[in-house]
Amino acid sequence: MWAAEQDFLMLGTRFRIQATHAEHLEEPSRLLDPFDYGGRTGVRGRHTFSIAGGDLVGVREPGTAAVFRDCQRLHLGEGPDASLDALLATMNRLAVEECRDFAVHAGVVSIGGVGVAFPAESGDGKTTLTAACLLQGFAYASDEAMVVSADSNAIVRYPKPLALSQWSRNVLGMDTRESTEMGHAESYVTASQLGAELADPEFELGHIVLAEYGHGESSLEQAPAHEAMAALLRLSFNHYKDGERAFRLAARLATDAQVWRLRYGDPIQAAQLLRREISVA
Amino acid sequence: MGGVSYATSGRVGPPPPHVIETEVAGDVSLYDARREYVLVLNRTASDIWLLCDGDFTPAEITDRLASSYQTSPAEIRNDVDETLEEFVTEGFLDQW
Repeated sequence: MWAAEQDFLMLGTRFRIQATHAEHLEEPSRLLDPFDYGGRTGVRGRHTFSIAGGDLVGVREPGTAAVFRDCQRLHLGEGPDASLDALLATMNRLAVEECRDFAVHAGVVSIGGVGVAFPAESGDGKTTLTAACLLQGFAYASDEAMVVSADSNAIVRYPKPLALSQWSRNVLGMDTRESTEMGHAESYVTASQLGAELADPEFELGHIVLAEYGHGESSLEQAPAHEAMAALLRLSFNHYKDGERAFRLAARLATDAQVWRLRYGDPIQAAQLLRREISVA
Repeated sequence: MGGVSYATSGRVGPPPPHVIETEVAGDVSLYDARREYVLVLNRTASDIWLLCDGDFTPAEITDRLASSYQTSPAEIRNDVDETLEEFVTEGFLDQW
């Protein structure tokens, strides 16, 4: 029944995507390339997603596709692209939820092998700032989560495709044709589409940037470490799994990293400032 | 004025065993392992906390901090009282 299938490994959770039409797997495969787990390895995914042409699920409209997760329908929409958002969002949620490492809601880039994290809530502009950094020569680790390895205490890259709003694409000066339109406000781009390399699989965190959007000229100044610690705990996805460990880890990260407060209005200008100041710090 | 009374001669602290403390670049952060609750202290609150080790009364803490900050005890008494009260309210110290 399946014309194509592929396995992915995201933060230790295995996924399999299978499709009744090979072309339905092309875009997920491209966007999730950093998580490729060897193609047809025969390894069973912990979660299986199936993309079926609408004709196979009793929907007559041509071009319709349905996405199922472990046999439960997630989405039914026109064409494979409309299903992609549901697929990627669900995979991301599961990967982060099931991650056994300490994970914080943050954008993460690196330069010279040293990590720079922007802990922030959803909607605070961390993806746009992350993308702006990639355009300024930083390597990409994640626009979603700073993950700290339980084994090595290093930062683990999680390079999911960046979800950019129309506003973000305009601010970044991106041609919308460079991104995968989702039929609504957001679209996905990979680091390579922004001309960026991926960060090393694991690297040390050197800088924590507490970013505040809504200012005019960009400015960067040292900030108290305890503010970074509070942000790391407040924005953690999973501190509740081992509260004491999360507490000690957040303290260590905030102590060892340089902590900055970035005020900015233009993400590109902010990324240039970071590139200039952090490279010499 | 906080609710801490100087009429008691009890010493403040030490913190109960479920309270774990760590220093972050000189500032103290506290973790309540029973409630999984964190209190991140600023520099002044950290200085107060570090004197809550069972050796000093609230008045002695105030005097020591005043000496350290080169100010008068009256100037900082309210702040010390309120901070100590918060430590108790938040469960990081038992009432003395």
